[in-house]
Amino acid sequence: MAWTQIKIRIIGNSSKRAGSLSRRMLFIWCMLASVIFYMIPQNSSNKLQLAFAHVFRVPLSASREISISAGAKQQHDDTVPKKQYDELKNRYANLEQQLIKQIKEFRRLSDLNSYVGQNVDYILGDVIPAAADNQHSELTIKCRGTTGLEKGQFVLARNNSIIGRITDIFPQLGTAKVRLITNPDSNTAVQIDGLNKKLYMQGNGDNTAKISMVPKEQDIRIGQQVFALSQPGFIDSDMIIGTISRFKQDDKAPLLWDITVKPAWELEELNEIAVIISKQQKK
Amino acid sequence: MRWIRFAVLVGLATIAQAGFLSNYILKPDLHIILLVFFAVYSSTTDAIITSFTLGFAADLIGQSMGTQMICFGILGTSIAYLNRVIALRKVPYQIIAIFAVTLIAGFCANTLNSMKNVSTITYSSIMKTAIYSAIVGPFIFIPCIWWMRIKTPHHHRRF
Repeated sequence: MAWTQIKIRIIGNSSKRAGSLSRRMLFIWCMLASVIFYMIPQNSSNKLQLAFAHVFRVPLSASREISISAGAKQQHDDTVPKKQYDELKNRYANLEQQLIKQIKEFRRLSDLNSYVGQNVDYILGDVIPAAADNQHSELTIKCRGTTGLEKGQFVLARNNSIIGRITDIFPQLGTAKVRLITNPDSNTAVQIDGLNKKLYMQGNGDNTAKISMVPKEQDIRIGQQVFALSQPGFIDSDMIIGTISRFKQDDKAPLLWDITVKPAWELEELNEIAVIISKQQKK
Repeated sequence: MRWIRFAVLVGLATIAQAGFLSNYILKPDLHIILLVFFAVYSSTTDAIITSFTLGFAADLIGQSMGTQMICFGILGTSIAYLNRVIALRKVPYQIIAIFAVTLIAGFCANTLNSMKNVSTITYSSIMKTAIYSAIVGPFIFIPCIWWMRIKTPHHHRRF
């Protein structure tokens, strides 16, 4: 009976109109408040959320602990434990570094191919820093593989200049010894830019090399480029080896120049190298 | 409407949602269950107020402010008006209502959040929450009816 009376009162015409009007206004005002909240910048609205979390931190943490202590924490299907996550993260970082290195190698090989020509291949390698011997002008390189390496092969620096030739190979270690052009035992056939004459360059052992047997009538200038001559089976074309840094009259032979050559690379800066392998050698 | 009891209920639901239930992947949305409850068991005016209030509470523990408030407000009001035409007193209707409201509110909140460049939740998790809420909802209604001292009409068998 009481229920029927309430129903009659609600459905009553006058109260219905008044009620619907107020409800509409109520809804509009609430909606307006919601839109204002929505329009507030994220930083400001975050403060409100943080304030709530701060005020109710005790019941919230207690509530969380209840579920954890009850052993109710579910294992996420698409997540891993923190320890495994760290391990995977490190592995990913390592793989990313390997990828970057391989991209660099690929670009380097592309550069070398366009620079030297298509009749040669390369083995990329790194200089073992502790093995660089400035005094004896030798260094040890670690290659990606020693197959194809042979004694006498030319080694290029990152800037595509000749740094020396391979003298020893250690397949077990994957390393090889390079005699630099500045080594006193090194003797490289060279040509000075502008001089149509085959000359020999010998290392001085002090990070420079010298060229002798150049007649004094030849026009020599400081800064003139020196090229290693092409050698069938080793390099197909002349390649830069250094520049003339000093020249003077030879003390022993006054009719000749004593020319000092500065390598086109710095020993301290050598880190990446490429060994030139002729395709003829490969066959 | 007993507003103090309502405030306590909303507070408890918010703390439970942000605390106890936060450790679960599959969890009901207590705010939406309460939204449907008040839309069904209270007057239209009260339903509008409770909808926006529950939306505000959901926003406090949600991604950003305002999004749930808008969605809850519109949906709660719609359910309240719908309840005047089709009485949602039967459990199957309530299950359908909770399921639909959770889905719609989830999609709308996601859309509003993405407009604000706020991270959104996956649609599969919205679907899971909707199913779970629809199952659990009618059971939560029982203590809520008691707590809010709501007098449900007695059905007399007619001979």
